[in-house]
Amino acid sequence: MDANTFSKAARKILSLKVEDFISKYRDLLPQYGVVGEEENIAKIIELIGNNKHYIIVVDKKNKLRGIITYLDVLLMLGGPKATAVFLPLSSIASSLRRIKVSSDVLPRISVRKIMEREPHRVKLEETIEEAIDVMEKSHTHYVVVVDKEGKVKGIITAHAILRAVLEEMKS
Amino acid sequence: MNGIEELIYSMFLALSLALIVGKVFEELFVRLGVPPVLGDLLAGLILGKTLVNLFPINDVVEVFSWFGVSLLLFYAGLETRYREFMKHVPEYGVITCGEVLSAFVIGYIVGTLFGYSPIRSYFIGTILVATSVSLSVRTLIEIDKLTTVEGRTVLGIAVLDDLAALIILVAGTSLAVTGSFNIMDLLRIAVTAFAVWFILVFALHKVSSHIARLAIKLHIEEPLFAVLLGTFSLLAYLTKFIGISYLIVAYAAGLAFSEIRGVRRIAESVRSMAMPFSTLFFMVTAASIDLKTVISFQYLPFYALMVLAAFMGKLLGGGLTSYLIGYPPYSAIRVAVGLFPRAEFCIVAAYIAVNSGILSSEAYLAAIMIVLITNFLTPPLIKAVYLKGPEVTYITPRWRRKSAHVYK
Repeated sequence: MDANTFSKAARKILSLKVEDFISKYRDLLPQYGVVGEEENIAKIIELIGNNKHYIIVVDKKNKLRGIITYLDVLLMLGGPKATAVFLPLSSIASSLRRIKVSSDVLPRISVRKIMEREPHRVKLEETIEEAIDVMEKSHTHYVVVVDKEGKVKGIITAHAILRAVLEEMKS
Repeated sequence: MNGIEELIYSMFLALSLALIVGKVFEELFVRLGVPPVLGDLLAGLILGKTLVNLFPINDVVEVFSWFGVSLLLFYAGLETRYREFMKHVPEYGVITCGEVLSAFVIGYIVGTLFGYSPIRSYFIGTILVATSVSLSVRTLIEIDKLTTVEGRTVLGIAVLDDLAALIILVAGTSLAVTGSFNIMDLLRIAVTAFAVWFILVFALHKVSSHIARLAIKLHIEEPLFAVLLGTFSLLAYLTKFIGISYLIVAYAAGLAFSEIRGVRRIAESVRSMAMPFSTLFFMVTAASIDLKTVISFQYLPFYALMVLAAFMGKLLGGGLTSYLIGYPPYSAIRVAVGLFPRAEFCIVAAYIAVNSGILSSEAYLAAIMIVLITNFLTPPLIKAVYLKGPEVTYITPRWRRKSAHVYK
């Protein structure tokens, strides 16, 4: 591998617009599902079963509200007699993220209660470099792509960006 | 050794006791299925003035512990959802008003029965107000009833209940400063606190996403966390000039920022930061009060009546109000039982009252007993009332029923 071709390829990918990236490297991007806020976890489990590893939660106008990854679902599983983590005051009332529940109750909990609210996002006209910056600041390896109205257009992962650089090197 | 050095060493001693002894007790209590805050309190009781008298209490330790409580409130706000909160205001506001008023009034009456002055009775009422719903939620999830109508009502009330308790407490602290009991003053402070709270949440929420978007563009370390904590600190400082406790701003700021991008990581950071100092706080509350003299049979009627009042207040208030707005009787009782548990707020209120010399230590011990007993009794009670009787699927409030009858 030549260091020069790598840096050239990396620079090219980093300066790409998000819009161009998601159309050019569509097959490198992970599959994702979209659900409404009113759905429950049963729907999420079904989607994960269909190889959708990122579940994006949208409101009625199709705007991005939250995201659930398979890890979030696993983290809530606490076995047959689950114990909960206590949250101070009543904050627990609106968010159940840190609570553990038994596997037969989990499917009935609403998506809204466990999703990561308002994940970081990039707009179509931003560059891949900016997308990486957002990932760094949010300490995640993915970022959701939205258009000007906030409607979901896709999801970019760090893995996909690196794969794109490697493909660019080959060509 | 000079003064500052001595204070720092005492601070380290306090923190190490809190994070080692306090956490061991917390672990024990979590395994027993009761709120970990009881662990902190027990550790504080043993190490504090009541028994060993090893726990250092001085200005620095107290300042850090109050900082911990305000961070805890900020965190609670961040974990609440602005939209759900605002949605619940009209829906469950009526029941919340009913149950809060009833819990407060019953406490006030208990105070009067024991010959307390109005200002002391006010704080007895305040101790009984705030529900800490997390134990109810846990039990409801365990028996898979959280998604029932009653379960959702308990959740909805709990969020508003915090605010109501906070306002009553804040109004009370202002009373403690002036030392006189005046209904008009009290109402004025309560209304101001409520208005400040509401305007702040509303206005700050409007600009919160802009602030967050600007923050993420900064090149400093942890930009979002720095900006949020900075805003929160500034607002807390400004409350000095309007004569309202900074505690009310802490919760408001958290709620206002609860819908910004990347809120989850910020909430986690605030939680990590609040953890050591809030543990410190609850240990300080227990350690700084000498309970030797009040553990006696002489106070038994008072303790018994306080615990009874804790149950009756919520049963009458929550039950009756929800029955009046159209819940069937068994549903109304389910709602009321879900509101029984008290935890952190109860202790905070008692500590403020005792610390400012309004109430004496027996009130604090009563608060601990309330937390202990409500938390032990609520899970079996919830199981009893939720597992018997028919399941309710939908409840129409009374005021909407009239229009439905027109179509008959």
